[in-house]
Amino acid sequence: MSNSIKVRTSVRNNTVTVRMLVRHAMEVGGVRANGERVAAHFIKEITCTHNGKTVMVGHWGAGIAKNPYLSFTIRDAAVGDELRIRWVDNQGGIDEFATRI
Amino acid sequence: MLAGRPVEAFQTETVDQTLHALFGDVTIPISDKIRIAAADLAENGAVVPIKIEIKLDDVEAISIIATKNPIPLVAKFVLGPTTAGFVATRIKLAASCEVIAVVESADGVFQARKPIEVTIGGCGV
Repeated sequence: MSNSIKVRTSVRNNTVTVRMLVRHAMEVGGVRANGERVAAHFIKEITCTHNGKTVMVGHWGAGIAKNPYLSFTIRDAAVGDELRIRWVDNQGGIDEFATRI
Repeated sequence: MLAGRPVEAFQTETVDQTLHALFGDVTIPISDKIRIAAADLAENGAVVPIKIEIKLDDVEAISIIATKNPIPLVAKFVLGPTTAGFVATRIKLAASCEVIAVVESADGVFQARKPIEVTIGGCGV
């Protein structure tokens, strides 16, 4: 379903470390040196759910670097648990990715 | 459920305004339980790896602010009860500045600051 989100997980002592890469321009917008106008285009919200429970919401501005990288850890997690990542950008773009730990 | 987007804070243009929009009129104490791990020198301001490690109990939110960015608020991460006090990402820095991490936790609101030297600013952040 998703082709913009790549997720890797590693579990240790019931804690999962989630690392993800998202392909996105994260364009701040404005006028380029050559006069070209560029519209702002950036992910404004990224949400992670673990077995259906929201565990992380990232409210982003264009200050997050292009092709965002994000890592965080969740306790009380086990191999086989469901992880779902979803982002929404400021132009209404959406992508979603579901995986098992 | 987890709090919504801090819309007003994303519209502020100075750090004081950003902190005020997020936390109101309070002085946020510095805590040595928050560590900002990043290189002292960033050659390319467009991609600056940064890691926030927190030893406070029950971290509820982590806000990352870059003092010289046109929009200082870079991101606010809202964490659930089973999410640990840790986040790593890559941010843009317009110029050499201080990066501020403000952490909301069961123990209260605290901050840490780290100066980062930028050789080439992240284009038009």
